[in-house]
Amino acid sequence: MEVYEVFRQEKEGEAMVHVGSVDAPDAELAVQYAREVYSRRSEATRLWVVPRAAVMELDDADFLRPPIERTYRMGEGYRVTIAKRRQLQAREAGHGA
Amino acid sequence: MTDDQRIEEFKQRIRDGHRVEAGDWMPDEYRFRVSRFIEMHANSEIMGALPERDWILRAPSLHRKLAVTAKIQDEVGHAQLLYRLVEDLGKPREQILADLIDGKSKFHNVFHYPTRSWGDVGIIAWLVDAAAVISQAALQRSSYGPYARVMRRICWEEAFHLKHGEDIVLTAVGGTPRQKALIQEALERWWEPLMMFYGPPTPAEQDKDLAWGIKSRPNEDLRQEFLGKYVKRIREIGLEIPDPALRFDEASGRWEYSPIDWEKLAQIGRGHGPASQQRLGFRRLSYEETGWVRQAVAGSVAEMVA
Amino acid sequence: MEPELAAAFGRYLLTVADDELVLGYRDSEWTAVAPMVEEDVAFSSLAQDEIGHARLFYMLAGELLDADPDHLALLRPKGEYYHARLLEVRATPRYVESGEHLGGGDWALAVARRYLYDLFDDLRTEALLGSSWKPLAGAVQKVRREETYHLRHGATWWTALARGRGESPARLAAVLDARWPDLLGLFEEAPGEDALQAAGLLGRRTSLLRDPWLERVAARCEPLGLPFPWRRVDGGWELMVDPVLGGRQGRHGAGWDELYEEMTMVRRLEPEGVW
Repeated sequence: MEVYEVFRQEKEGEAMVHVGSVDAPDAELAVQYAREVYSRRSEATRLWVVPRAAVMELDDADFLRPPIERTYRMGEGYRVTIAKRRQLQAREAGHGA
Repeated sequence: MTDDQRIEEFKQRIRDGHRVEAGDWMPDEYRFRVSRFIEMHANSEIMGALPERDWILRAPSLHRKLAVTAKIQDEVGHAQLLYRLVEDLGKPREQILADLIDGKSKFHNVFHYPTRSWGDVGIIAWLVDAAAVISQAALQRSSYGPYARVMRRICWEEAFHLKHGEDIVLTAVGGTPRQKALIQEALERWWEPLMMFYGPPTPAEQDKDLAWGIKSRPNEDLRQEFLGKYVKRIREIGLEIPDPALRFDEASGRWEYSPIDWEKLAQIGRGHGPASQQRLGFRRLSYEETGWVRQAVAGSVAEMVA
Repeated sequence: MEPELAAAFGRYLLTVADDELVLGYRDSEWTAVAPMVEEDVAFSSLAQDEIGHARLFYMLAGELLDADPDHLALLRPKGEYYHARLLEVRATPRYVESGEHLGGGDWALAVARRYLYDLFDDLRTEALLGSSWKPLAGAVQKVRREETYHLRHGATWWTALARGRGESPARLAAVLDARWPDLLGLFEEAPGEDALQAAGLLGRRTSLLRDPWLERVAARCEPLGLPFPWRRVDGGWELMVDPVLGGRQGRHGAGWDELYEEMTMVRRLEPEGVW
């Protein structure tokens, strides 16, 4: 018996979402069980069934959220541009007057 | 960091509302408690299916037969979801089931009682599931992430059960006197187990599962909520609740009721309920009779076919 | 449809509906006691599908016989159900209030019976696809789409048991050996099937489904080394066992007494009531 992880797409076009796991003797029954456990109310348009052994898990905080600032990649790093624009608007308005 | 410091930090994370996942470090006590809590829940689902399954066969219409089968299938499905969580915390499925059969692990008191009529089918699906929905809604905030997620799924399915159960009750109560009597009689037998459902009114400070965030509301709060929601709904359709002391006290804002025999509940929890041993005996029989099947598929089917 | 044909066709459809109801009943008894919890959930869906199919066929029969589907399912006299006797046999343990439960859980019987019945039912529904009665043809199309999944599940377990470790292959062989006569009873006809076939209501009468079924089952037994009691002869098959007949005429065994009693006990409290 092995554990299989199950992912489900609820509506066309949506992402595959992890919904849980099943124990099964093999891949064929895993697929059938996945449907039963995670889609018997017709909740899925698509299922992925994957042996847990194939899933690689990463949860190291330093790896996923490195400590040195990277605001150059994020929107919050560019809030200063709003202030810069305001300064220029003010300067131009001053010239116009 | 010492172990004590690590444990303190963990407790603080829980107080701050963080979730714990299966692969995280956890204090031994947390792992033990959360695993036992979920195991009891899983066992309750699979044992709960036993009193109800006979009524699939006896359902008085094709629609009800399908609905009751689907409802009980959901309960078994809940057991599956929860067993997977316990396995991911380190306990193999065979051990979980062996402990259940040997009486080493517990299941909810409410499933230690016999069912006697179609009336029980309606009362259980409506009121017992209603009681479960209230505690399960609170469990959606459990500190243990996998459990909180499974609880959302379970709550979604339980909502269907309530409607199904209420429909059975309303149909029968609105039917012939004999049909109504089935429901009234069943209510009289199930009222005491329902009042015991949430366990004794343990003060929050003494409730360890509450302290670890495994559950999020004290027992008596849940019972008060149940009474607040359902006493009126039961009485307004013409059913009588068999507790003359049951009343809402305006001054305190609390429901009062006849004293509950908590020692009786403890006895039931130890396997001395009216149907406890019969149920466990049946589970043992069915498990033993299918042992050869599990052995047959212990390797993979693909290996065999190749 | 002329009245005599309608009556005969309604009677025929009851054999189909009763087969599905009784199989669904017996399969639903595995709920909460199947060998593995995931399989429990799966098998329960199969049982629900059968009962759902039964309901569809009772509705159709009800149109022809001017009867309510629930009445047909739950209120006919005990001797007026027309399922094959194979299907009424209990394959699960039975809960007894006192605690002295009755054993008898036989997963090999559950799997083999369901799979070999589904192979027959596939032939039967195929023969109904072209029925001149359009409501039936439409219903059968939907049934067949669900049954695809049943055959897949059945084939998986059939192989798993035939090739499984330990007692499994011997248990499967023993069940087959005991049940071949019952299985052959599936091909007993309802009265008037010749007229129904002539009128195009049935594509092929039930007895004519037997040879294709023998072919299919032989093909599934031989590669797995499972013996079966028939062999090829010039132009056909020779059977070495006799079928158990009577089911299609309303004659059943002890399993039916127990089943009928349990299935109807609540409804009989208020037969005309709304439940």
